[in-house]
Amino acid sequence: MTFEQAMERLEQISKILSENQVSIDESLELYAEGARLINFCSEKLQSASIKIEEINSKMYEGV
Amino acid sequence: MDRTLTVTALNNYVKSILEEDFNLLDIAVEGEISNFVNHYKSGHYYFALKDDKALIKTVMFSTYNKKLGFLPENGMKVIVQGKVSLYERDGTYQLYATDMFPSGIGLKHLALEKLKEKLNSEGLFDEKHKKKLPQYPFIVGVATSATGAALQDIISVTNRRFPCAKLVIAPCGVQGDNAKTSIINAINNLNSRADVEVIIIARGGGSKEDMWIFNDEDIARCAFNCNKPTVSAVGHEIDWTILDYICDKRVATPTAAAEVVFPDIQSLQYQIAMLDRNIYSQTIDKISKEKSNLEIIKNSSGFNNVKVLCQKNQDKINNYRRFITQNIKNNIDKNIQKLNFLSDKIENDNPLQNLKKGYSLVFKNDNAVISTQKINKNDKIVVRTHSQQLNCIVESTKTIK
Repeated sequence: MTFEQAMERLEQISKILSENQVSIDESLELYAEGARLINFCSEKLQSASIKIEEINSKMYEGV
Repeated sequence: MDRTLTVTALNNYVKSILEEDFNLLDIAVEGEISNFVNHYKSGHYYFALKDDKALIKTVMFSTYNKKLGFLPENGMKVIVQGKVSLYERDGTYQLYATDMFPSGIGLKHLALEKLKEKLNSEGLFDEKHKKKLPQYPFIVGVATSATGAALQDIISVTNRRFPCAKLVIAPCGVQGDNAKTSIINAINNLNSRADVEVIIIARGGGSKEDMWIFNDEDIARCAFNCNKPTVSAVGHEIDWTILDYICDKRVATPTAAAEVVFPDIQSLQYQIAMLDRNIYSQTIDKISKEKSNLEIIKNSSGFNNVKVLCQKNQDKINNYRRFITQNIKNNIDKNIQKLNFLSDKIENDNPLQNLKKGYSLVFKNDNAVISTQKINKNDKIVVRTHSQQLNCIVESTKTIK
């Protein structure tokens, strides 16, 4: 799952819960899923500084 | 000489010859402006274009000169684009300009305009080809000079905005014709990487000439063929390069590129926190709503009727219990009275009671003796009075009648 997909799903879960169309069991399942996604997203954002990789631009020549 | 022409006919004839000449139809002529007149009423430009040996009259009608980005003046070196024709009234042939550029870079401009037109007509600039930038790119490719300020700007903005990102740098030249191959290689390299989500092509500030390489047709086609979204950050605020038109997103500076590509981590974290709060409070709301629904049911008349019904039955049961208990108690009381009566009666009938009245009982061999016949002389008997037991030997017997 990508970060973008996780964020989209979170928005969706929040929307479903706010519309109040689901049973209490489904709500609890959605809450659990949401909590997992929140963790996933938060962890993805945890980094103090960027990583840098330099690639050799000559590599492509002759390919 | 058996044929004469009118002047008009002659001029018309020469004019038609000039206008039919393919070589004169769309030409670019470089020269210096002289005798420049901006006609105050019509807005047409009239001037002569000259070099050190020759001169040609030139007219640029207002329809065309309105689109010029500069005001021509005497002594200015320019390239004039247009056609050659003849002005019948004066019998002079002249240049009818449709476009004009300052010279030097002007020639390049002409080529640039042509290339722009060509690529545009091929649809390479079309909005339908523009790819959407990813909302949250974690791995971003950068094609730029390894030593330039552009890279430092991008790194520092990325560190500030989205420090969880990774930059994949493909170093390349950014100036001069030699840079072309390395730019194309850098773009292709980044495009071939599966993990790179978007490609920034960047160059720090510079003159129009400095960034001319990014007007190259091959670079344009290379960027166009990228299957990843591309961001061009090579130009100026004002001057657009061909690459600017080709890329999916165009910004003026490398700093702006990093700003447009990366989300701001703080607002993203805030957004996630809000989602977290919403999802939590919505679930809690849901639970308390269910709770109060149950409370309502509990307090509803329907449910309470059942309760009352149970209570009514409880009363009945209690009554029955009380009734049964009372009955049993009465029975027991009755039985106790009966037993008391019987025990009194038994007490009265006890033979030992008679001993108190002076009677005595006679036993022989532990059996009570009822008649004297069974007792003989010298028999051992026991006589029991109220307070004594007498062990006796019978001296004689006598039957009483």
